[in-house]
Amino acid sequence: MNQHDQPVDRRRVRAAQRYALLVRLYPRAHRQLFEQPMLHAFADHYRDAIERAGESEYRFWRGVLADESRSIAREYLAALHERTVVMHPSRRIALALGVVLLLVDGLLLVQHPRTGMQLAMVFAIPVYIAVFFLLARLVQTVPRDAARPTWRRLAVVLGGIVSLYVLAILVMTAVVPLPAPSAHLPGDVRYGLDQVWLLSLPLLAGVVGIIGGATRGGDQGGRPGGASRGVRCWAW
Amino acid sequence: MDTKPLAPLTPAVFYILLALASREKHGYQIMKQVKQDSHDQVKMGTGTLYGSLKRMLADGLIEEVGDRPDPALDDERRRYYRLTALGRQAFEAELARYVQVVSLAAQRRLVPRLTLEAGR
Repeated sequence: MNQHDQPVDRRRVRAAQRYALLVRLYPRAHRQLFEQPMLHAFADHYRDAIERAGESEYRFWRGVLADESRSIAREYLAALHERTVVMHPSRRIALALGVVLLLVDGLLLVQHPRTGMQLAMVFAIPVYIAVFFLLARLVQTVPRDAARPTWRRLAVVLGGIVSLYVLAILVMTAVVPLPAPSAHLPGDVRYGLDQVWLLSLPLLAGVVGIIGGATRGGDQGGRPGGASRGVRCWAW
Repeated sequence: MDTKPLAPLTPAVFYILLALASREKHGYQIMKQVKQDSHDQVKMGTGTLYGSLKRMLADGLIEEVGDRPDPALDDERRRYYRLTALGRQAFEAELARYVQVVSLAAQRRLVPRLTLEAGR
């Protein structure tokens, strides 16, 4: 290799690195199947377009970005449709932690509304967003067959939600002492609408998590004869 | 095999089938062939190509080739694809549909003369 080739090689390596980052945005199932061939095809495309045909980098990347953004969105929609997404264990742990944090925040709001509200403003909203994001990912992991509503399943789910909620209210009533009335807290507001929401949403998250975990099977319901069949497909 | 649910094919799928009709190819060869065959009308980047290939594999239109044409000259990361019997059937059914449409248009004198001459 002569010195003249070096900048070209560096540019090629940098372009491949940038494209590899783009490929990382695909659902893991897709990456597992096509990451290497995609990188290879990109390298060929770059060599032909930039080094041989002299296309401008800007025009080349504009085309690549337009194509990849459409493709990434399409693959996520397909993964959602085929339910080939399985939640990574670390995200399950994060979901559980998020639920616990929100429950703690709910308790703080009941006991120390001022502190609880301050904390809520700082961390509850991002945690809620994170929890619901993780929850959405978890719901995607429920196999299609398990997600099909039957009267029995519906009764179990509804019964589970109601009984857990009632149990939590009973535990709260039994364990948590009544807050002292003050200027900021004129009466017992433990089970006001805000608190009910704050407490019930994480509970709901927990119940859906339990259902999602319990119904997750080995077969992730890919299309018959599909490329995803038999492949363990982890979400990013 | 019933190909009716597969027709009409999308332009991307049709051009990939056309590219693979003559011989097996790897991803970038398909991209180049599609660009050439469609006179640059079908924009197919790497993402679109592999998304389409994935769905075509799932539908049984194409399959991966186990034996590479020349393993000594080729990178092992390359994957070659070829048409399956179902893929060829779908491709021929689509072509027959095009021929039918063109002949119908010709009967009604709707095909521009220039287009016919360019096709010869």
